[in-house]
Amino acid sequence: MAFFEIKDLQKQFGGLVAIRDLNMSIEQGEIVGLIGPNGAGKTTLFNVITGVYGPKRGQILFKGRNLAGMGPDKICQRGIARTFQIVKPFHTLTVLDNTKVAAFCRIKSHEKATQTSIGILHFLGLEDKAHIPAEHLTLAQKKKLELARALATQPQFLLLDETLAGLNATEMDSMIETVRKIREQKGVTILAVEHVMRAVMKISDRVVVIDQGHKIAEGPPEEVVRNPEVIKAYLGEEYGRP
Amino acid sequence: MIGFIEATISGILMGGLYGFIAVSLSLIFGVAKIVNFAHGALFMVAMFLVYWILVLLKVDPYLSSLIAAGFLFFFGYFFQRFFIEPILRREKETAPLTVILLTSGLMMIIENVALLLFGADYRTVKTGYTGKVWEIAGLFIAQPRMIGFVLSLILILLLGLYLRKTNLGRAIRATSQDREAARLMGIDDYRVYKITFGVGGIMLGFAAAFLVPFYFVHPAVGELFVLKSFVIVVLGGLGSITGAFLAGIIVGIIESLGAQFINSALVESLIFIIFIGCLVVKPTGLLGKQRE
Amino acid sequence: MSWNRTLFALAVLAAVLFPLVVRDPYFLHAAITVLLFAFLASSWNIIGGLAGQHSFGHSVFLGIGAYVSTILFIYWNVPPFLGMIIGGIIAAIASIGIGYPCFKLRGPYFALSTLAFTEIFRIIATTTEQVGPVDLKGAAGILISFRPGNSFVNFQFAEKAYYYYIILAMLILILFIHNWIEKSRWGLYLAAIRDNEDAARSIGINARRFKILALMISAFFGAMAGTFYAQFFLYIEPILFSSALSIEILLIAIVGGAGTLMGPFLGSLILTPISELTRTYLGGTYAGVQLIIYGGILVAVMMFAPQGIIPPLAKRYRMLFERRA
Repeated sequence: MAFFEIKDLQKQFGGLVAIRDLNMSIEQGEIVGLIGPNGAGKTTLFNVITGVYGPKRGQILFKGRNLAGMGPDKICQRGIARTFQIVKPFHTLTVLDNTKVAAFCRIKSHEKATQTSIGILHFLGLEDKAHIPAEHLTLAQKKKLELARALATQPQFLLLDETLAGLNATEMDSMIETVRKIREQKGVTILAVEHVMRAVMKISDRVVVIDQGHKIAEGPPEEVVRNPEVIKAYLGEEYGRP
Repeated sequence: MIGFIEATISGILMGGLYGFIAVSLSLIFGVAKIVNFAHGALFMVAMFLVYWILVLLKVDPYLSSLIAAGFLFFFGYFFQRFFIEPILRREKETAPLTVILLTSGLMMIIENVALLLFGADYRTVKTGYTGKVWEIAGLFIAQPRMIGFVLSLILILLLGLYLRKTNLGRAIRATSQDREAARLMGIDDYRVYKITFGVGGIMLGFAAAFLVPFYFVHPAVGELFVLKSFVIVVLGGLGSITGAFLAGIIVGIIESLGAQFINSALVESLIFIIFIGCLVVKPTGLLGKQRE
Repeated sequence: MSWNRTLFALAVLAAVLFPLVVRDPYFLHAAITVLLFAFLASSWNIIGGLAGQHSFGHSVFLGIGAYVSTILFIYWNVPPFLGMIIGGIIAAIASIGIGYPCFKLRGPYFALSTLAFTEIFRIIATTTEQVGPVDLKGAAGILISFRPGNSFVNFQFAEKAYYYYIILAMLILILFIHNWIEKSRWGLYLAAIRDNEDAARSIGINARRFKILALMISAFFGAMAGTFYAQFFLYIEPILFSSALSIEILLIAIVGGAGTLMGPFLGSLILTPISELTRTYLGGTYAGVQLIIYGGILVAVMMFAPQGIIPPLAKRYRMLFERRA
């Protein structure tokens, strides 16, 4: 039984087919990069996996259970967490409360939730910002807060949606290290959508490429990047010749 | 049976007028994303304008409709300019609450100023065709309603052409679909909002002229149309002019036929119940485009 | 923190002493009205402020409470205090039926759907007269017969001071409940839903359930206010269900600062006297002027201080009117 598997997934919006016959599987402990040109359907895929939309057809199997059609809150409770491409912090709450409210997913007591949250903030280097309202953070800090929130729900599978977008080079390196730490120290399996290629190369065990809602390639990063189909998808017909 | 058919026809005609008013609201709601509760009050202003022009200057409503339309264009334009635009500019994402309360307040002011100026009497007029009917195939059809319906239809078709063929019309459509993208293409979205409000005002001016011959004029008359117009807009589907017009006709039919069986006030509540049901089942409305 | 509590205790003390110092029934009446609307706005504040769902349908619960307790009293001699609880429960149940469809919607659609409900209830109340043994009297409204003397059983008092203390107690009760919710786990959930519902769901919060629960609480207390209203003014009518009243309640909470503890009270302190004064001095001949002024306030607040009065003040006096942390 694969850790996470998608079978024959189909999602459309009216007449527009966003995801078409998608099949994918992920082993526990992997970091898988998900790349593809703009509009390929990556965020839609995330939204379907996390229950924001229901699929038209297909199965989403997580540890054997089909999650297709479940709401986001149930899916989180089953152990899948996500970050958002455009950060969505709870802006009137402090950094600590942002994390705590996520921690309440697994922990019921205030004290324990606070403890756990501080631990996570420490892990991400945000603990000195604990009592600052989330709206006052920089973008990089907000992105870390997204991670903190997701981690506080103690997920086994984490979906990262362009965590690096909008960060400068230093912030990016810091974030890449953090993502690695998450897998190493927390044992979380990760599926990351990313546009920044060097990050994808650095961090992924494996890369899956999507174009127009359909998987067109997968494999180790170095291979995928040289795949003519992939190049064609990104750059257009002429550049596809090997 | 005859009564049944006549009620249906009457409902269709009135519904067409509802639809016409709703389309003017749909433009504003769809393009500027503004819940304008003062829409009915603006309509009332137009009605009084047409009324006074008729009573004092003896000019037929269908002629003065042009004046009303012109006046309301500026009224709408400046309404947006002075009250709504500052709020839009100030906040990145204006809470619907703010605009609803703002326009509610403006509605109260406009209505009660009218109340103070004109008093609470229900006024009606007598024109050459008020109360007159045409007899077609044994059925009696009210003239003013028929005329109003036909003219509304023509104007809506013209509006559709305008939105599709002219640059400004296309700018309006672009802004309604994607404000950011439109801005990036060089469209001044604030100007589009003002123009849209103006166009909505023009339509209200015409609608008022179509209704004065057979409806009553009163400072609170707008209230009857406001919530119903929103219901129609949502039922018809945001972004769809045809949808709003059709939904208006449907509401008109429900109202007219419903009144044959139950208390006409209860029919209103029936319409709201259908509204809520529709929102739950298909929030995008009959012909609406799925958005976001 | 102890600053907060001391200030609150002082305010309560002042409120308690007020009727002993100010004996003029006119002022007492005004004070009671202020407290009543503060209570109403505070009850709205649970769903509107804490949960961030700006419902325009709060008057429905007020109306339900008023009609339920009044009818139980007139026809079955149920003491209004008991009727208050029953009305509250019925309102809470009704709120499930209202919340279920409305909470599927966001933004302006949500607002419109709650407004549609007020219209539905108002129309039904206006057109319904006889229902079985009960005469709802439609648009005419129901008069509660005046009984002299002070009676808790009848919930009617000749001396206004009784009403004053009851509504004061109710207000303090709901403020405690507000505070308790806000500081609890549940309060964090509501704040998360308020700030970003999608993100809240993604961290495991069942948004629909908590929104409906918050609405039920708001409804229960809104209905309680309805009973008080009925027993204080001794006359209820379908207008109670109107959207205008909903907006009035909303505005009080907003002006004071939605979501804050004392916001509704301060909002009422400012707005209710204005409303009362204009009604008294301008009500008769110039009835419209009162509404023009009211509309003007709405416009002014929305254009210049949509966050309400408290949050800007709060930035300076953070200690006094903290929302959270």
